[in-house]
Amino acid sequence: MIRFLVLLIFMFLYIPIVYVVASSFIDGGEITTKWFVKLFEDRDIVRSFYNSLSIALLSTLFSVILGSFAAYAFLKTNKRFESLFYTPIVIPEITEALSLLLFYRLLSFPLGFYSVLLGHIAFNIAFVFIIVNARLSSQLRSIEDASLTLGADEVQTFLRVTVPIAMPGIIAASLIAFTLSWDNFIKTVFTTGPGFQTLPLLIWSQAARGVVSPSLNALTTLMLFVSLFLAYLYAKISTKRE
Amino acid sequence: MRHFLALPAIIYLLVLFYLPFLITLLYSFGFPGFTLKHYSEILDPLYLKVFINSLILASITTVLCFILAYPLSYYIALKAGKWKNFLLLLVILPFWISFLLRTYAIMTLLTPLGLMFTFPAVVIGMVYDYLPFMILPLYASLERVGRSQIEASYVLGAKPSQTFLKITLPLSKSGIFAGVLLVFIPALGEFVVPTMLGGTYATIGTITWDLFLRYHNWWKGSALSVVYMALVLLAITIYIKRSERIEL
Amino acid sequence: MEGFAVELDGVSKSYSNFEAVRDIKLKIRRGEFFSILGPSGSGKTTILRLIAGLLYPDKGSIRLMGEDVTFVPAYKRNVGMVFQDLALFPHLNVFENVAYGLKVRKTPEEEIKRKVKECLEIVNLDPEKFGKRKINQLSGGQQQRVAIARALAIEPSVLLLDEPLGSLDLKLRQHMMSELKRIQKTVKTTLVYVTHDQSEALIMSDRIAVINQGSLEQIGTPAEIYENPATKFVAEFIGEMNFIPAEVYNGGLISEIGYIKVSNLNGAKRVLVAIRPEKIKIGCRNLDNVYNAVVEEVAYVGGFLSVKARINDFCLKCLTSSDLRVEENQKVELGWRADDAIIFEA
Repeated sequence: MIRFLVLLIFMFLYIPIVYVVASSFIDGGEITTKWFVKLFEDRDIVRSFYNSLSIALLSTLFSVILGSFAAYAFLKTNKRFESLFYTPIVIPEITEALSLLLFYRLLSFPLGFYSVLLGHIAFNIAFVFIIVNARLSSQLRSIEDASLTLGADEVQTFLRVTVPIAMPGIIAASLIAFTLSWDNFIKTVFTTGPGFQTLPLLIWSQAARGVVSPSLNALTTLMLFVSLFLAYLYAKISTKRE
Repeated sequence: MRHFLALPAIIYLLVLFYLPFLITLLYSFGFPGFTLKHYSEILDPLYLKVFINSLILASITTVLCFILAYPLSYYIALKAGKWKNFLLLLVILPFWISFLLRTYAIMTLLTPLGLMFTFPAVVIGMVYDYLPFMILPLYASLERVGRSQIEASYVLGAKPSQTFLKITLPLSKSGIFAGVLLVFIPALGEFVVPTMLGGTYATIGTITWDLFLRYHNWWKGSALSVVYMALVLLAITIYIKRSERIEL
Repeated sequence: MEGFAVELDGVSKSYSNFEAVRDIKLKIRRGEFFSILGPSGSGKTTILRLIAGLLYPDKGSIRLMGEDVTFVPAYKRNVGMVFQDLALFPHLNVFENVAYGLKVRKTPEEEIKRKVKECLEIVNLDPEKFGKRKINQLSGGQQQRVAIARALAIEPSVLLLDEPLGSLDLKLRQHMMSELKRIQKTVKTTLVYVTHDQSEALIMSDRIAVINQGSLEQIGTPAEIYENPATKFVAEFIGEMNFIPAEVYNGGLISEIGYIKVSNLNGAKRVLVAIRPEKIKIGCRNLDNVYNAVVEEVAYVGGFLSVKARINDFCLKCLTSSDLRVEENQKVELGWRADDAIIFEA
């Protein structure tokens, strides 16, 4: 009984995804890749693709640097400051997004690439902090001390010991930060301006009207594959570490 | 000394996360002037109906998610054996895909079924999106219950049904609470699903969106957002208080 | 080799809210196996970190091999340290861990290979078999050996060990203790060993410093510390001890068990008479102090009997050969020589 129920629930979770992916490869009963070819012929889509990519890459880069240093600084020693990084994760995204919009308006900050990027970084810093913080062991301090007693100065210790030990956590955090930024919709839609479009915004602009189309299926499939590929990398790194 | 390395990140969050919330609060009181009228306007029957709509939708979503997630989590945590890791992977995978894409995916199925723009469509979409958020905390708490406690209960003469009611369910209480919170709070403010699948079904999320992005009524939008935030903070405070008590 | 390897002169160190060590004076001889013994939180690890240069003192000075290093950073001191949690580099294999100190010194490749092999052999790890292993592929005992080899590789002027055996089970701990002695004899280095385990310290050390609440209680050989504890704390902390409160009366002592004859008295009016369980003889009459007692409890502890005997209402722990036949509730005579008791001010 319970097995049948479990099976049904997993079917419920996965059939829609499989259906989208399958239908993006089908045209009138035949298997085709023409919907994907069409995507790359559409200049709007290609430009949005580059926009999404650059926002995701840059926000990952900056948030990983800021968030990792913060995680290293606290290393599970200061609970009060840590909670500063947990709030952005429990707060519903929509309230965060509209606050940012008001903030930009008040400063007359031009809405577009930079306003979107700055918002994504804020959100990602919190995630990076939590992931890196969770993976850095409190033993790191004594490992660094060991390096010092063996004759390595602070800089050598940081480069030869701290960075390599923190690396798996940093890579994991980068993958999650990239994914969150890559398919972010709510924060982007509130903080973007005229002329700056990302892939999720493009999908929204058509799907919000309830329209399903083969090219939209293909675009969704494309984004899905990117996310799943990142998830795969993440799993690979996590299991390697154990 | 080393703590200074956290300074850039902290300053960044203070300026680009915490400060904007303060500004929202200011706007809700009629910035640059001061008035309470935006709050009184929200109490208007029209908005009250939206609040009730959102509560109904969030409640139905939470209950349905719980009904589906509990047996699933129970199975993965205690019965799945060698399949456990694989099933867990299937639960975690959707977390990597954004709501927008997943909602679009369910839309492609609802369209041929002719369910689009109905209340059931919205509910199905909500449950579809939020189910993993209920499964994971439930699984985590049931995992901690472990077999030995259940076996101890059998040895002491409890029937399976008694064991479930007296041991398993109470021990997974913290997971139930976390799951309910993780679904209910964001579901209250959800606007992707009702907009895409429900057409005109108004919730706190869709109204906020309209106030900000369509009517540019920052003040009323802020007041609505502040009320929503207050509800969220209330729920989180209760949760923290409760989890402290459970630990004791 | 003349002189001292480590000298601490009036060293104090405070953290924000408490004084971790206070006015420590220590001179550790070259080639010595020196233990710092104290309960947890007594400040012994702080002393070790001060010697290593991982902390700087607020007051006092530290000399290593005759040179003042008080404010010299750890990486310039050439001190080997084995950490309590071992602190092995998880991202490096065994060879790379041991080679680390030599690598940062820019030692030539060939020299590194030779030296790492030598150090792994000293700690009884086959370099061929273990060199390429990851740290998490080693057992607890093997990790211990790698940590020691890593510290030895830089040919340290002193080797500091911070409770390195704490995480091992009893059998392995005993084995590693004799290993440590052997290693120290092989490399002839000065070794400073921090522990809270008195038996470890007594068995291995040439000399022991007993630390309590940040202050030095006593320095001496294991025998001196056991036989002649300088303070009540040392007497209580090391080995078992019976304490009998007493008052001076007529050149002797009056206590709950009766009159106690002692060999020397130090001016105090109220005192504690301390007597080791094994110094109390049961069924023996020609002693300075003899009492009638009732046996309360007898426990067999491998070769010995641990006996609890009551004189009036006062209980004494005695340790005696298991050849003796005593039973519970048996009436016995027990006593000790005046020289065997130690007197502390109450």
